[in-house]
Formats: sequence, structure tokens, C-alpha cells
Amino acid sequence: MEVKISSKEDFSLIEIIRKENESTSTRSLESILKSLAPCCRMIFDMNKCEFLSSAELRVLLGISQQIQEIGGRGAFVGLRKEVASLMYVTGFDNIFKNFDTLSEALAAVKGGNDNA
Amino acid sequence: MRKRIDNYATHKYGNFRLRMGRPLPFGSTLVPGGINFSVYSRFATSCELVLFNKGEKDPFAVIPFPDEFRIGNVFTMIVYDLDYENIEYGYRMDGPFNPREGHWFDRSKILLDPYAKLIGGRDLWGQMPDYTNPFQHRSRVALYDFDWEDDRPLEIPMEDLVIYETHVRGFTKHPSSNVKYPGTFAGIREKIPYLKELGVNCIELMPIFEFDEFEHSRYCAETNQFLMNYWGYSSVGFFAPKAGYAATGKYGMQIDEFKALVKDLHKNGIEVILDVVFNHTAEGNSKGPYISFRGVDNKTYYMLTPEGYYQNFSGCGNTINCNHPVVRDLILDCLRYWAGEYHIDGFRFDLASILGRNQDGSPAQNPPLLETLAFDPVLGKCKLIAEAWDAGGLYQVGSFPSWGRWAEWNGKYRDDLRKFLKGDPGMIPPMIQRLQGSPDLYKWQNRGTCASINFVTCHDGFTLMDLVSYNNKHNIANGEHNCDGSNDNNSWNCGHEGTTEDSEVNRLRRKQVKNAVSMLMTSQGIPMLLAGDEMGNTQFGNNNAYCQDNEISWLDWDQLKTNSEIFTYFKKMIAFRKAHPVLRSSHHPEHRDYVGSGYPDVSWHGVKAWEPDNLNNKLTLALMFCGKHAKGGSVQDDFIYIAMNMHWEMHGFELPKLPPGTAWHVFANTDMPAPHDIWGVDNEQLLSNQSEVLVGPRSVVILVGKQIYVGVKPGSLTQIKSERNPACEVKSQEKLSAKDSKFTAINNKPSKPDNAPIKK
Repeated sequence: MEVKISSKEDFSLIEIIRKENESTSTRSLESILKSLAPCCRMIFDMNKCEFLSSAELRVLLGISQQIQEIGGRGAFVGLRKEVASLMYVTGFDNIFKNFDTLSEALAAVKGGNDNA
Repeated sequence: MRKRIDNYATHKYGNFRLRMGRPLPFGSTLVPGGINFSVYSRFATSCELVLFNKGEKDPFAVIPFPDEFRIGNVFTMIVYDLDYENIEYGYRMDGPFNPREGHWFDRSKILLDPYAKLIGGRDLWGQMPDYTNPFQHRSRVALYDFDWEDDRPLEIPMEDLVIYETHVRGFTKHPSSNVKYPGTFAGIREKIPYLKELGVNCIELMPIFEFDEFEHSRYCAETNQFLMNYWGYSSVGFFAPKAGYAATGKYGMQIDEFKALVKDLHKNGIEVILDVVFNHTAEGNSKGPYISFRGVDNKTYYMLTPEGYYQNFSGCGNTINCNHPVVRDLILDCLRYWAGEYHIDGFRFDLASILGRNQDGSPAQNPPLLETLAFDPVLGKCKLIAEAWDAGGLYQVGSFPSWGRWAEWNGKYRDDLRKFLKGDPGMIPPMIQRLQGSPDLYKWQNRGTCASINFVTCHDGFTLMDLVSYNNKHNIANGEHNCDGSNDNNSWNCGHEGTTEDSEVNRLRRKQVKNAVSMLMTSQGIPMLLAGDEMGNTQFGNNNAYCQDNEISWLDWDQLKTNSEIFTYFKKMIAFRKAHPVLRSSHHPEHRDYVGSGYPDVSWHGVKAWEPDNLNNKLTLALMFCGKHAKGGSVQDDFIYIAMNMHWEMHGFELPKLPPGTAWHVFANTDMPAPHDIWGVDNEQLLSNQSEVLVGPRSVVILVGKQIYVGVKPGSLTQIKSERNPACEVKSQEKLSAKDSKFTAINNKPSKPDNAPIKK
């Protein structure tokens, strides 16, 4: 798994790149935790994420919970159908809301959309 | 938080850093930086941890437990820096091989951890195993934290349950189920709206512990079908959900998928009961494979004869030594794990009488395991349900040790109702017992009605539609020359064996199905339905479909269209039961008036009111529940009168008189064609003739005695404006009065001599 974090003006864009047949590694995901700050706005670009393992889903859920705790907001953008299904089936469908476009996700994390 | 001061390696083995582990909990547990492995064996002389990369045939490491890593009879070790999500592990144990003494140690066998929470190797249902692989069922390290949010077991009062028994795969595997994930936990989740519409509030899942569907698999000579261990009453491991039942099993995510199902069911008000099989394992008899227990500590885990042979009270080759203290702990740990980690609401114990046998096989007076489970704090609110018999001849329906906690599958309810349904003579006295919660079986121990799980059908035996369509079992497809399965079905084919185009036969069958569910839903005790009965499901006469992973077992959802009237009838009967607390008493009736209503809590009738047809050749019976006694008089309910005519001729039933201001309304009449067979709660139809109801041949009529609308002159029916409906048979009109009420007490109570209305 590869995680690319880029800081924009008022939010962070995190691109998650993962092939289905890769073995699990949570270290790169855990590195996101370092970039969390109070009231942060985080958008997770999932377009290149083909799969998430059980451990990786747990790390993502943990990040989501931590963002909430510090008053931040997060959103997915471009979550693939198969990954969304996997999240639903395994009960990890409450991590972040997914949006089709970056601008929609941005509006949600900035605009106080409770679902984000 | 302060870090532990003992979190460092003390030993090295090759490149592996180790230290002595903690003996409890057993199994594999993630600890900071490593995995704690712990396994019990009293008689093993040494133990090795065998590590594999996921799915690989050959281990990448074999690490012996150093002698100093053994505490008592427990081998325990922490191994650091393992990639926990991508490994599988097993144990190799050395020790004596002496079957006469009960020892079967074989150091060449790689053994599944008896406490494995996650088991790989059979990740996809039905995928042919590679038998050249020496390690078939592979322990994995489980991540069992889960975001339950505010979920917890629902704790629905036992008396309010409507249980729905189903098989994970069979429920949605048929293409007609139209689900995205057929045959899986996720598939059940997709059907939650259906379960809610039906109205059940508890789903009982046939075994979901990891099992081997290829155990005893074979081709049927007659049909050329591949036969499997489809039901799964043969556990490989007790702590792991079956991977092949999960859409995500191929990713090893069955734990999460099953938890998501439980959480969603709870959100929708539906409890989950697991059918658990602690009586035997998949290792079979002396010719069976080494999977786990045989190689870990055969003498502890299995019940053996003095000569060292496997006892076979299960009929499956071996018997778990349930009352050995170590095995007892394993079972307790297991149930606590499922209750605590999976929020399971209850357990149904397969062949539970085995759990009450001493280590020598004799029935115990006070079985310690059963007592422990009854009083365990974690299981304190869990439903505990026994299949109160075993294959060794122990039959304990009515006498299963209960400590006020255990309920039983009431096999006598099933048998008596079936006999009554098909018109056997002499069934009025037993039916009087069954309809009031079987006090003859349970009252002597003050166990109440909740001890009785009432059912007409379950996975074992005919479906309800087959019960009224076949006189005999048709199990040729099982490949055992029709010798398997029960011959004691108490079924009746309504005049033709099997499917027919004869509309009269089919009409009668539908009516018999409705009769059965009418009686089931109005009986005191806990009703249990077999999945599919609500849509007239057939197994084509097969009464033992344990090996049929095909359309014999899979629920054909298209039957919902062809048998929509049956579904509607079931749905409304369940709603009726839920709407009327008087049907859900937790105590047996007292046959007296203890609330000052002028009526006994339950009264028995026949074609004459207050005079049950308590004769051998009679097939007519009616009972009336007085709603003023609902929940011991703490809630108000209506009068409910159920007339059952299992005779092939119509009979008029004289009705008990109701108090002024109330009148009989028809809720159901199985003799009527749909949609006039059942009306729905609060849509009952006023009965024009309040003194008698005609009950058609082999029919059930359910009446509700409730208040008529304001403005009606008490005692008069002439002012009631109600459309006549075809369900309401009329012979004459009479004034309403309670003055003539009288009753005859049943169940060892003397008849009231003066036939006068009773008062508190």
C-alpha cells in the first residue's frame, strides 16, 4: 500500500494506492495519524484503492474516530464499488461518507455537512 | 499509558525472538509487538509451533516450546515480529501413542489450535480441498475488535420470542433469492426486511462454527448428485465462524461479516440464537482424521470406554467429554466468547443430553456443565435451549436439568400436534397440555411455559408443506436406500402422495398448513418456525436433507408468489400473537379467575361451551383465553377463542358468552378461501351469530372477544352495524350475556360443580 499525503490550503488530500493482491501493511496508513491536527479537514482519494484488508479497515476506522474526536472532518472520494461493498458487508461502512468528486467532498468537509 | 516492563524477548530461536507467554487466555492473542500462543495438553511431552505463510503447504518455521515455557499443562510462548495478518499456525505434539490408554499422539500431524478464533483452509464453500496438503484446517490470528457502537444483546423476554430456524447457505443460495451475496451471512443481512415483514424477532442459525462440508462427501449412485456435509453438525473448531458462509471468507473477514449481520439484526429488533454442537467433533471415530483434539489430548477431550474405544452417544463416531473440567472450561470459554464478542443472544444445544453425561457415559444427577452454564455471569441473560435427547437413548424432554434457565425443544409438542392435525383419535387430552405450555412436562419443576420451545417442524424432518403432502419419507437422493431419516413422522398426505394437480387435495394441504400455524401461534410457550414453511416450502418429501447442497434444501423464494396466501396467513398469525399478551404468558394457566373477571384465565370447550370433548374418539376442541388475565392481570387484553375441528365433517361450536359490551369477532377461519381466511389485527370481523360458530371440516377458527363501539346498548347485537362477511357463519342471533358462563377445569383441577360463573 502506498499513501501520499499532500497539504492543500485548508485541507489534506490523502491518496491511497493499493492493489488487491498485495499483502497487508498498515504502517503507511498509520502514518496518517501524524498529520492529524485539531479541526483538520481530510479527504481520502480512494480511486486507486482496489482492496482493504481487515487490519487496514481497522486503521482507517481508527483514523476516522480520531478525526471526530479532535473536531475534524473527513470524506472519501472515488471509493470503488467493490471496496464500498466490502466495507458494507464487514460492517465498516461508517468510516466516512463517499463522494463522486473532489469538489463535492471538499464542500462536505468544509461546509459542516454532518454526514462527512 | 505506561508500557509493560516485560515486553521484550528473553530467548532466540533462529531469527525469532521469544519469551515465555501468558497461559491465559488459550489460543493466539495479539500482544504489543508479538503474538501470545497458549495451548493445553496434559499428556503431551513436547509441543512445536508450526508457522505458515497464508495458504502455503510448507511451513516457514517450526519453533519448539522450550521446556521452561510450560506452566502446568500449558505450553505458552510469545513470538515477536510476526506478520499476524498473513500467517497461519498449528501445533505438533509429541507424547504416547497407546489407544488402549486413550493416547493418540502423533508428532507428524499438524494440529489446529482448539481455541482458534479464525480458521483458514476452507475459505470458499465447496472448493475441492487439496488433500496432499498436510494441514487442512489452519489456525489464524483473529482481529476481533469491532465497532459495535451501542449494540448489545436485545434481551427480548423469552415469552415474546418468535423463533425462525434457518440454514445460512440454504436461506439465500437459490437464485430466486435475488441477493447480491447468495448463501452467506451477508445474504441473510439482505433479507432482514423480509424477516421484519414476516414478524419474527429471533433467527436461529443452524451450525455456523467452522466445519468441513467435505466430511463424508460422496456421489449418490441413484442421482449422481455430489452429497456433502451440508448441515454442518460436526464442528472442526468451536470459536471460529465458518469461512465458507462469508462472502468475504476468501479475505479471512468472516468474523467482521458475521458481526455486521448480528449488529444489523439487532438494529432491526431480531435476536440471534446459534445452534451449537458440543457433543462430538469432525474427527469421527478411530478411523477419522487428526484435526485437533485427537492429537492435542485425546484422553481429555473425548469420552472413551475403559478399553480406549470412542464412546458414540452422538451417532457420529465420537463424544466430547463434556464434564471433564478442562472440556467444561473450553465450552464455557467458547460460549462466553460468542456472547461477549459476537453479542449472541442465545444458544440451542444439539443433542444436549450428552452434556449431562458423566465421563463414564452415565447420566449425571446434577451435570456440572449444565449448572455452570445456567449460572454463568456472562451468559446470564442468554437463552439456553436444549435438544433434550441424544443418540444414546437418553430422552429428557420434560426432565432436562434446568435450574430455571434451560428451555427445551419440545418434541412432544411436535408429535402431539402432528397427530391431532391429521385426525388421530385420543389426542384431545395431550393437546390440552400442549396448547397451555405443556404443564404436564414442566410445571412439576415450576419451569413455566418458557421451558417449552413449541414447534411443528424443524430442520430435522419434513417441512410443513411436506408434512401434509407425504405419508412416507422420500430420501433416495441421500444415497442410503431410503434407510436414513425418521420413519415416525406423523404425517398425512391429504389423499395423494407428493405433488398433485388435484385442487381439492391442494386446498386441504394449504388449510392444514394454516391449521398448524394457527395452533402454534396460539399456544403458550415459545413458537419456532422452520424457514420456508411460511411460503409452503417443499423438500420433495426428503425428511433428512443433511447432505443436499442443492434445490432440495435451498429455499425457493418463487414460492412466495405461488403460495402468497400462506405467507400472508403466517404474517398475520405472528402479528396476532404479538398483539395479544394473553397468548404469551410466562406461567402456566391456573384455570381459575384470579383477577375478578368472572372468567378463568384459560377455559376449555368443545362443541358445547364449557364442556371439552374429552373423549377418545373426539376431534374437536376449543379453548378460551381471558384477556383480563394477560401477564398475570397486569395488562388488558381481549378474549381469544380458538376452535379446532380436526374431524372431516363440519361442527357447530357453541360459544362461551362474553361480558356485556363485548362481542365475538372473527380473526381467522382456515376453512375460508383467501383473503377471507384471516383478517388482521384490529380488522377482525364481527360475528353475526354470537352463540355459535360453524367450524368447517379440518379447520381452525380464531375469534376475538372485544369491546363493541361506544353507543351500542349493552347486551344487544341488533344495533351493531357490521357488514356480514363470508367468514362469519350464522345460525341465530342471541342477546349477549355473561350470565350463563360456566367452565370445566382441566389439568387435575376439579370441575366446577354448579357450572356457575366463577368469581374471584
